Parts: sequence; structure tokens; C-alpha cells
Amino acid sequence: MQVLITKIAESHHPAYGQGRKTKTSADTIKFRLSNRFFRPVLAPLIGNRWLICILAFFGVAQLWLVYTGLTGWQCPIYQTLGITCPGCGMTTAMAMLLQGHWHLALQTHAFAPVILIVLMFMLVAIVLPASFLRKFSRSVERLEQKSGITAILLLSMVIYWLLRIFDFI
Amino acid sequence: MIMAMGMGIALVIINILCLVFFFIVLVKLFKNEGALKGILGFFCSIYTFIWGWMKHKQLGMTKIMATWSILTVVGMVMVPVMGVSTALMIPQYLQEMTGNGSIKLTNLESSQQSPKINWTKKNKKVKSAPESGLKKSTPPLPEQNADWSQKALALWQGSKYTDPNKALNYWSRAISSNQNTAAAYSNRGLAYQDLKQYQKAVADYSQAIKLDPAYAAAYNNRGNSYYALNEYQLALNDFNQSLKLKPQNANAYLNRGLVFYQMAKDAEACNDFQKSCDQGDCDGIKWAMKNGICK
Repeated sequence: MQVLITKIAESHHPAYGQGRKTKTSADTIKFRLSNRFFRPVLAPLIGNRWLICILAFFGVAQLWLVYTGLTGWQCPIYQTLGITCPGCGMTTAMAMLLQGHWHLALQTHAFAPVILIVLMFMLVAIVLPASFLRKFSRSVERLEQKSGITAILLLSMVIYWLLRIFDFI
Repeated sequence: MIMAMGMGIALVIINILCLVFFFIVLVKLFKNEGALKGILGFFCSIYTFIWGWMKHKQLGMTKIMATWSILTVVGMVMVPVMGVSTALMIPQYLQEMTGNGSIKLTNLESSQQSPKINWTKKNKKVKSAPESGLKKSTPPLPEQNADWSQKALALWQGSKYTDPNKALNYWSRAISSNQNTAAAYSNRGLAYQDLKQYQKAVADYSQAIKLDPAYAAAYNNRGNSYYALNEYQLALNDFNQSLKLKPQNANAYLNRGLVFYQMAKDAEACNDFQKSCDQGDCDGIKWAMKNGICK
């Protein structure tokens, strides 16, 4: 029993082992940056059925409210400061996309198609059986870890937003 | 007016509190979930809101989330039900109540257009942000498209759209539903202008001018956009053209006066401010005299 406890302790605490480096590769700045950059964002969301249900409900409700001309969720930044945030105009652009006005939608927010695709994925994920949902979530996780696509998209949106507010595009 | 202002102030307070709560939760999101989810929360406040509710017990922010939720619902109800516009309308309410026009000047164009110009003095340079100008005398609309235009027009309050993104959506729908008139393009240009997307506004005004070359208001609006882009010579050309088409236009005189002022042509600027005053808008000349530009 004593041996077993020691083994568990060793496996959970690298400093217990003799001759091991206390500074692991995880401590280096390069590793931390790359680890954060490639950290999955969408996969944990997709893997949680309740969370996607809530997110999809809010997303569809917001889209419906804007589509029908009612007041939807108000952007706290725009409402208070009068400055558009990176997501401002996204729902309007998605509503335009659904009506088939691609050109106008892209003019309003260039990332609308991407977010609409993500929303579609979420809606599909809701109805997937548990085993398929796990597989789907793992596939998305691998894609995010390998390509860093979510980070690239998010950072591109921030750059796009900066270009828009300074009227470069 | 007092009622509207009171509700407006209430909405300002609600919006500020919502913003504060949003930033509190956003900071926690950054700390707990990392930068990527933090960025996601920044541009999708709904995600921040949902995340806040998911972690409210763990992070001890139940009260914050409950207050934020109540305030959000109240804010969402206040806008359409009570007819409150946005917090940004408060300066206008105040201006209308006091009648003080030393900061904001309202230019009424003879073609029933009402652009508004913000002035801020900065050394010998006035930074003007012409914010609007809506041609309210739109031509008769086809039945099926009238709704979108009417909805867009309903968003127009004072001198700007209460929600430019919505206005943009409505005008785009009106345009795509074969109501692609010069007025529709010009009005969509105003929505772009409110969103500070001046290049797109210029494109829409140009389209309006292409459809109706005698559309003085569109020239005036395009001049305002060029002004915002610091293209003073182009702005001057447009104001000249607007005045050529419609000489009795206090608004365009005032705007042209501003362009002259930016070009350090004080004499011409004073002349235009005076002409604007002769046609009923004396805010420009008052401002210029107060600041020692005109005698």
C-alpha cells in the first residue's frame, strides 16, 4: 500500500522524482504562448450540449429579433460609449446573409459568414447523439490545436474592428 | 420633453451600469479562461453574460449577474416600449431644452434635410463631425417596400439614427426591394456616416447623385463625409454644387463656411456664415464671432 501511495505521488508531482528537472517545458514563454494560442475555444463549447443549447437559443433569438426589426440584445459598449465593438453589426449582417444579400452582409461585417457557419454547427451539434457529439468535439479540438484557427479568427476580427473604427475599410 | 429626458437619463445610468458589470465579468473571463475566450467575450457580450451565469456561484458574482440581467431587460424594454432612444440623445435633449447651440449646430437644408454638425475648437481648427442629414421628403413608396423605409425613418430622431446598424439594414432591404431611389441611397449613406464609415457613405451618396444628378441634399451629405475625411477641396466642390442646385440653403452655406475656415480662408468663411444667418441659421456666425473669427 505504501508503495502505491508513493507511485501516485510521483506521477502527480514531478519534483518527487530524483534527477528530474523542476523546470518543465511548460514554463518557457514560447511554450506558454503557443499553448495559449492553440488552446481550443470552440471544442469545449461544442462538447457541452447544455451550453450549446443556451448559446444557440440566444443566437437564434437575437437573429430573429433583428430580422423582425425588434430590439435585441444591446451592445453595452456601443449603447454607452457610442463606439462600435468588434461584434457590432454582426447580427444585422447575418440577417442580410439569410436574405441572400451577400454583398451587403459582407460590407456590414466581413466575418458574418464565419459566425453564421459556427452557429449552424452549434445547431447541428445539439441534435447529434452523445457518441457523435464527442467525436465531433474531438475533431474540432484537434483542428483548433493543430491550426490555431480560432485564435487566428479572433485576432483577425480584432484587427478588422480596428481598421473599421479608424475608417481604413 | 422633460419626461423624455428623464427616461433618457435613466437609460444612460442603466447603460453605464451594464457596461461596468460587463467589464467586471469580462475581466474575470480573461483571468479564468484565458485571452482567447476573453476576446470572444469582448465582441460577443452575450457569451460573457452566459459565462457569468455559469460561473456565478464559483466566482461569487450572483448579485452582479442578477443586477446585470435585470438592468439589461429593463434597458431592452425601455427602448421600444417607452420610446426612449439611446443614451447618446441626451445632449440633444439638453440642447433643445436650453436652446444653447454653441457646441452643436443644426443646419436645416432647404430640401428638408437636417444634418447636424458637432464643433470642437482645436487650435485654429474646428473638428467637425457632420453626423446626419435625412431627406424626409422621400418619394411615394411602393406598398410592399414602404415598411422598411418607414421603419428606417422611424429610427431618425433629431439629427441622427438611434440605431444606425438597424437603419442600415432597413435601407438595404428597401434598396434591394427595388426601391433603389436616390433618397434611399442617400439615407443609407447617412447610416454609414453615423457609423463613421465615411468611404461607404461617399459611395452611397455618389450612387444617389448618379440616379438623380439634381439632388442637392446628396451633394451636401457627400460634402459632409468628405469633410469628415479631411478632404476639404472635394467637400468644397460638393457644397458649391449643392448651392448651385439650391441657392437658398442655409445648411450648405454653413457647411461651406466650415470648409473655408479649415482652409484658413476666414473672410470667405465669415461671408458664408453670414449668408447662412440671412437664411435663418445664425449659429455659425455667432460661434465665429464668439471665437474672434468674424467681426
